[in-house]
Amino acid sequence: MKEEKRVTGEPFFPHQVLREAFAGTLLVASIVLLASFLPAPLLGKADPFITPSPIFPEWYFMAMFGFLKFWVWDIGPLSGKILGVLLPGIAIGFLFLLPFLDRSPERHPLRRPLVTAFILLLVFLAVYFAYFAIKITLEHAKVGG
Amino acid sequence: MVVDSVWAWVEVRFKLSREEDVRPLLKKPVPRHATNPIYCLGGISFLSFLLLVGSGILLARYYVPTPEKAYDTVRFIMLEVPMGSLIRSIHHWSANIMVAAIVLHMLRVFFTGSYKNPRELNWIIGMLLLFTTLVAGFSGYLLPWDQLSFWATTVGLQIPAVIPVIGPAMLKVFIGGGEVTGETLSRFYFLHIFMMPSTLVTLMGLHFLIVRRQGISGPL
Ligand code: HEM
Repeated sequence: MKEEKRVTGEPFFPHQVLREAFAGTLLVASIVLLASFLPAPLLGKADPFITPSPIFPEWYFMAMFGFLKFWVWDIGPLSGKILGVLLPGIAIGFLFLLPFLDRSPERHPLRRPLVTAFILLLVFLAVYFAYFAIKITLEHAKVGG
Repeated sequence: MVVDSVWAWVEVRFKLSREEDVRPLLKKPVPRHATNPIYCLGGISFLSFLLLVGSGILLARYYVPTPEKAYDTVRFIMLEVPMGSLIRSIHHWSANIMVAAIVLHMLRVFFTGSYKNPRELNWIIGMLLLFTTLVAGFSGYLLPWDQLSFWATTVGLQIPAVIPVIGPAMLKVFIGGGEVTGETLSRFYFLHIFMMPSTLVTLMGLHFLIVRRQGISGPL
């Protein structure tokens, strides 16, 4: 395997530790700044009888939420609802098993175009369905008043 | 100096600065290509986690996980506790940044082809880290017990409910039924402050050990 040839570089301490300290300081500073100027929201107390509108999940669930709203078609015995969960589940299964599915030793993304295209497609779909979720939730909120 | 004598006390007993132990730890060379900032995203995820633990411990001093008290204690943290708003907001932002950093870290690992032989297992551990973090985020979202957390959780729980047979069974075990109640709140609190953090610590330990053992993947 060509990647295993020993590479020389700078020692972990202090060179790398300093770089990491720098990145870490930037991170902490950004978080404290964000926290100071954009504090975490707190709405009214939960009321099981009043559904507010619009409701959004956390941004990292938005794509999943959007796909569930997007996919309404039944296929054979599988209802649209089940497929809404099953199809993303299959994509996630592929991601889990990626190292066992993509076994070529090629590492450069352009020299394994198929796998790279698959990941780019997933990223694109995630962004699209997140956008879709926001759009449709806001539309419903308008209609529902 | 006091520090010197404390150090000497420790040194005599644990031989911490023994040359052959310390050299490989501190002087291990970091390959030039791995000093690229995209290689620090894993470290950024880890540091965000540390901030979450720190701010979370402070929040747990005041927070009470019952439907009667949860909301009021969070309000109290925001309005009365000195720097409470800052601490809760740090927790909030660290959580969001942790998820973002993990996703970017994963993309880095993907585009540098670093999941391939011999690093398959660390990719799987990484996926488990991602999912554990997402569950931690989801369970934490409910805790303030405000309108947003209650309804976002109600909507979110419709996803597992759809899965035939195991979906409803899982809801029973983890949520205490199909609806969001005080039972859900106390189970999510347990997930959020115990199950998920301890799982994360264990998985991260394995993840880092494997990275150290195998070394960072070579240049493209
Ligand atoms: C809590 C989340 C995570 C933490 C704290 C974490 C931390 C780290 C750290 C510190 C490294 C060393 C190199 C670097 O920082 O880029 C690393 C490497 C690695 N991580 Fe993660 N990681 C996390 C999640 C993930 C995820 C979601 C994946 C993929 C699904 C993943 C897969 C890997 C692999 C394969 C390596 C070895 C990369 C190489 O040798 O180039 N990790 N991780």
